[in-house]
Amino acid sequence: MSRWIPMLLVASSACAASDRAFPLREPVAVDTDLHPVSVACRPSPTPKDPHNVSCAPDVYVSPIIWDGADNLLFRPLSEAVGIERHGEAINANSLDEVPDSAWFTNRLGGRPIGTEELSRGACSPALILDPDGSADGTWLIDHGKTDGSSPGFRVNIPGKGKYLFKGEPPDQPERPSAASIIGAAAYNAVGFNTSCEQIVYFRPSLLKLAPGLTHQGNFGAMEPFDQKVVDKILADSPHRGELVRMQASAWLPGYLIGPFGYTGTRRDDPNDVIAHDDRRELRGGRLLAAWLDHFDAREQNSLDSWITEVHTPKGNPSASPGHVVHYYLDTSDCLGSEWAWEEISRRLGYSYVADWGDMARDLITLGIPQRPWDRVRREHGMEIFGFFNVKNFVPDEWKNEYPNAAFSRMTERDGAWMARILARFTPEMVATLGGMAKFSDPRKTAYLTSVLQGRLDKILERYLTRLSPIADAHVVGTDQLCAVDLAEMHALRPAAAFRYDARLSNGVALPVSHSADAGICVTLPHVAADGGSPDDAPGRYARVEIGDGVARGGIVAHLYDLGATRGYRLVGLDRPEP
Amino acid sequence: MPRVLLSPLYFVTEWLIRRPLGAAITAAERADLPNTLYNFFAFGPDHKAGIVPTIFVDFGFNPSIGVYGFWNDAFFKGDDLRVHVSFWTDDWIGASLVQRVRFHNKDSFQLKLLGVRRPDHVYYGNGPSSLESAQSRYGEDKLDFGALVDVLPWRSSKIDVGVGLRYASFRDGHFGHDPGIVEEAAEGAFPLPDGFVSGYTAEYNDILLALDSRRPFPADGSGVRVEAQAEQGNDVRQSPASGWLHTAAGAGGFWDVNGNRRVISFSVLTMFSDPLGPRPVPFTELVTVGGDTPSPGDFPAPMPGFFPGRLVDRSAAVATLRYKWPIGPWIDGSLQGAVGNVFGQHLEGFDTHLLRFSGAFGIESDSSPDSSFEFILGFGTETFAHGAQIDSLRLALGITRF
Repeated sequence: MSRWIPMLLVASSACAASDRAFPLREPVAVDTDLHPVSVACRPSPTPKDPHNVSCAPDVYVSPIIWDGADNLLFRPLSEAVGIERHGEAINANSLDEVPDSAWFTNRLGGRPIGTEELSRGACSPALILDPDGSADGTWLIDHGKTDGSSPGFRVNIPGKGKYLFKGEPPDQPERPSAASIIGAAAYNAVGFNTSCEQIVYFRPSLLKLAPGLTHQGNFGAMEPFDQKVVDKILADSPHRGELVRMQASAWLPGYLIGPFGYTGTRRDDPNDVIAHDDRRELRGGRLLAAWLDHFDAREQNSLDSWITEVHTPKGNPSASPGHVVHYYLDTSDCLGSEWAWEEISRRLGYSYVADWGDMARDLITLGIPQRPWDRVRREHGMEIFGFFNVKNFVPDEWKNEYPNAAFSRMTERDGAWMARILARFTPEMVATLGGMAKFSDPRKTAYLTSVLQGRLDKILERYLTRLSPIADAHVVGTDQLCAVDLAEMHALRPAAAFRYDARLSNGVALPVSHSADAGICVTLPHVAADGGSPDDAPGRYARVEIGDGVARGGIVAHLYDLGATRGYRLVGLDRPEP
Repeated sequence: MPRVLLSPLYFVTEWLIRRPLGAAITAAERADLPNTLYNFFAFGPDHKAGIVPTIFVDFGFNPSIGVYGFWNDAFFKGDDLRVHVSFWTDDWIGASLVQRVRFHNKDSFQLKLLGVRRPDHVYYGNGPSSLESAQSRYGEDKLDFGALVDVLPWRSSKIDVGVGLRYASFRDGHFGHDPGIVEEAAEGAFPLPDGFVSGYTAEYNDILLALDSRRPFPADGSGVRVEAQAEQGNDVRQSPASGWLHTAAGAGGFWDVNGNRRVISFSVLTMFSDPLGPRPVPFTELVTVGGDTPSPGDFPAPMPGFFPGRLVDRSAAVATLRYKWPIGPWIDGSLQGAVGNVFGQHLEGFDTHLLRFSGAFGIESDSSPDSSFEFILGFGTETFAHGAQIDSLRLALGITRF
């Protein structure tokens, strides 16, 4: 009889759970936006082929001036007077996670990543350059870099393909290339699509310049891209002996159709049905950008590529059917890039370049409150990192250079989701990221590693202590709900502070076992027998709330008890805001 | 409910402004128009030359629109050219051409040619008790050509030595319904000021010595400044020769409250204008208080709550308490209160009851000594003896005043 008492109690709780939030089905693990779709064909003349026909989405040329003006002034104004409210991201699945998609692939959040995989980033072995094994004059410069802050050129390398080589401004030597490599590796590990980035030390004699090239800056007339320009880029780049250090970005596969926007959808991509500012990965990307100080996270630093399913000998890359893959590009601004003006540089990461709110606040308060940009200082001997530091970093106040709609709409849940992924970066992995910079001075590697770790710790402290940091919830056997507490794993509080409490929705306490590696398991009493009522009968529904004694909010697991033989099925997770 | 109430505003911002503007700018960018515009407004090698449209509105005066042009490293490295032309109708035009050669990235030698023709200067009579009700207008044609050596020996200290030639002639003026200076003088508000009829052509020599312990941004803005300035001018049209001597001295303390450019300053400035020879000093070479033209050195403009040229006489004493703080990149806000007035020869007739108060709030950019944004909202009072009631309001804003 005694064994029936708790069962009855649980059953009464389950029956009361008429507000079943989650149906009995598997969570969406993979979005359908990777499925091939067809786009109407139309003439799309190119300089090389005036009769070209494209069956891919249109190439989007991002308006750099309008993007800045709109995000700084017009969009916020319009949203303010329209009293626009944005709720939670709409592409999180029932387990409060983001499915794999054309935007994002669960990597670090879904499985452990070794340091070797981390440092490889998006580079397959075939894309790794081998300057020592290459003959002089075989790396053909066939295009001058046309925009951006870094000078550079495109190189066509036999057997490898095209790479964009970027030099480094002399005022922060080695930082831009380090930022590109580390940024790409971190974004890739988290789950975003990135280009293959590598730091290359090579002898200039490998390069051969194609004749008659021209290039154009962000603004300005076309100018010859000749040996003089190349020599200057090489001369300004850091050297190790006779070897020149540059950053090489492998050309992305597919038919490049321009950047993705941070609002709305790409109208001519049938797969693109979720407004980008409502995508959790783009919203949560704010935390990743904050960690690395990727203030230049704007649409111009992204790229969409059409991957055709039509593989013909002539290979028209814009043929349908196919699908779009969305990439993050160019993180060379990370790790403390500075603008030419100190007044701006000090504010990067803390205030928009024209921040009406901050300006109004400083005007009204007469500047009495001290602001972060007042306090920032360059670390002596570490000036290449500009104002990139731990001391002044406040994760939830971080800003990029001008508003990004997805970042602006990041909610606590979006941030907590990203923090749960970032929590998988172990100190060893952070040290690996620091080492990828290949700095000439090991002290810079140590400094960078410490700053990355410090900023990461602040992010975790902020975002793993409000909403529940309990992650990886899954059913073990038939009646064990197990998970890991990321806050405890990172020792965000003394061990004694973590006091686990699990209860059914009717208040019945459940036993919790706890392991040294911050793992917890809750033993679930069965509420339904094998057979009998349908699997999704209300009587099989159970909700279990688990608190860890540290985070203000708990986690609520929604389960169906399919009986003692088949056990519990986890169908939903909810992290209510306290 | 708020959304319904704001829907007309939303319609305007979203559908009449944002979307059309976005479409237009996007189309323009795709047509490479920004490059075309950039190449139009910024040109020359490395785009070191360019032009910028300017506009300035000083309520109570004619506004101006114009063009400001720059050319860095024009004829050789370190040689900067600046040209500024402003106008409003055909009787208000100003133009200046500056060539500044920089040495060691701080010291400079400058040639400046300036010409102004405008009809709307104000004149209220001389003396500390001139009445707001006596406001009249006069026109001025002025040409000024000068050479200046500017040496920055230490921190914000400077030594300026200059020489030049200045021509000025005057006429009756007009603005709105204000009476001209001749009419107002005829009605007995004041006598026509010295030099109004004849004008003058003067060569001048000036020197400014300033000892200033403040360091440039981003260092702490605290420090002290002591300065002295003198200009001797000779009206070469007059026989026997006649001229004047301007002298000014100022001292101030600047306290950066938290080391981050929130600076409270207190400064005292005295200015004198004395005749050299038998003729009186032309009225535009007398000491003037009002407006936001900087003082001879680098102290705050004395009493900007008054119109430019509001107070005129042989000497002036002004004490200013000012707070200046950053509100954005290259943009500062300021609050200031000043007590002072003009007086007779060597502060003759100085009486604390004759002082006036000026208060002003301002926003200004500090990105360039030649071209700037500024906004000022200020007021000035009658003398304390007359109750110190506010009798002057001032509002000015724009880019690059002339």
